[in-house]
Amino acid sequence: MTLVKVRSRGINLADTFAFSGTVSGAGDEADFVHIATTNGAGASSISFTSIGSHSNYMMYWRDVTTSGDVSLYLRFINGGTEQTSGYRWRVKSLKDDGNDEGAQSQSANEINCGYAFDNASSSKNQGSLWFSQISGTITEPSVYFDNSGKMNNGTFARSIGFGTSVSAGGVVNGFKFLLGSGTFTTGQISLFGIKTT
Amino acid sequence: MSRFKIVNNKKIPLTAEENKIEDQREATHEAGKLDRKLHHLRVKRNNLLEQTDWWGTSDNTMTDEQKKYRKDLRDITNGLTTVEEVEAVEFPTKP
Repeated sequence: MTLVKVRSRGINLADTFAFSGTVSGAGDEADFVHIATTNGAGASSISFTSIGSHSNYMMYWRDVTTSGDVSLYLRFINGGTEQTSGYRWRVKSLKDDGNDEGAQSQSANEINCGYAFDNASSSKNQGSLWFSQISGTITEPSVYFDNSGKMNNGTFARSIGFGTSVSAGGVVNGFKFLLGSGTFTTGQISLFGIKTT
Repeated sequence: MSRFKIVNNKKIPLTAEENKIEDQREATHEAGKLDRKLHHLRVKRNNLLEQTDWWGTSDNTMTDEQKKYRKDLRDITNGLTTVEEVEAVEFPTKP
């Protein structure tokens, strides 16, 4: 076999090997897997529902601009069903003018993970969001996130926060990103799976 | 313009029901624009008030200019009923 087929912690069983016989076994969870990258230009929402089975997930968005002065939101997908209620979250923006602030309203319909984007084409946002379900089944899935960019009142800001679903149960098997209103003008979102140890 | 969503890198047109939900989200967002602008204004106003709270300590006597500055800050949202009015607000100069 060629060396490229050997990973640091196992062998890619999907590959073709230059020997006869049977290769069996479920294999080991890869340390770090790029699951997908989506270009969201023009879309109302961006969903990932083929996410495999990983202990941790990291989502990274970049060059995100929007058609309106809106926030970026996240919803969990459980058992193929989009969860549209039962969220609790808090987001705080650290602003360059010192007037730090948080979102003034707390919607239970989704998690605010990027607060009050500016809609100028030059005001690109980037951020990341982390999610773990090490035990496979969790009762209150939660995330934490970080976003930086320009806010719609003209300041530059870093938004940090967390979100939890108190109504979702079972295995989270998808993620949906959407805006408070309108569409993504530009932007990519990448999803990665990460092993715990 | 027809709306679409992206699921696993595939563009999918929104259904009539999904379009209706998007319409509602946009209407709700637009209706909340004044509240969001006022929120940003109040955050900045409250910060400026906090910076001068020490003027009111018992071992300090506020000047009339200082009293007026703080009152102007407290009253800065009075009579604001439109987004344009909020965006046109100018903060008082600190004495």
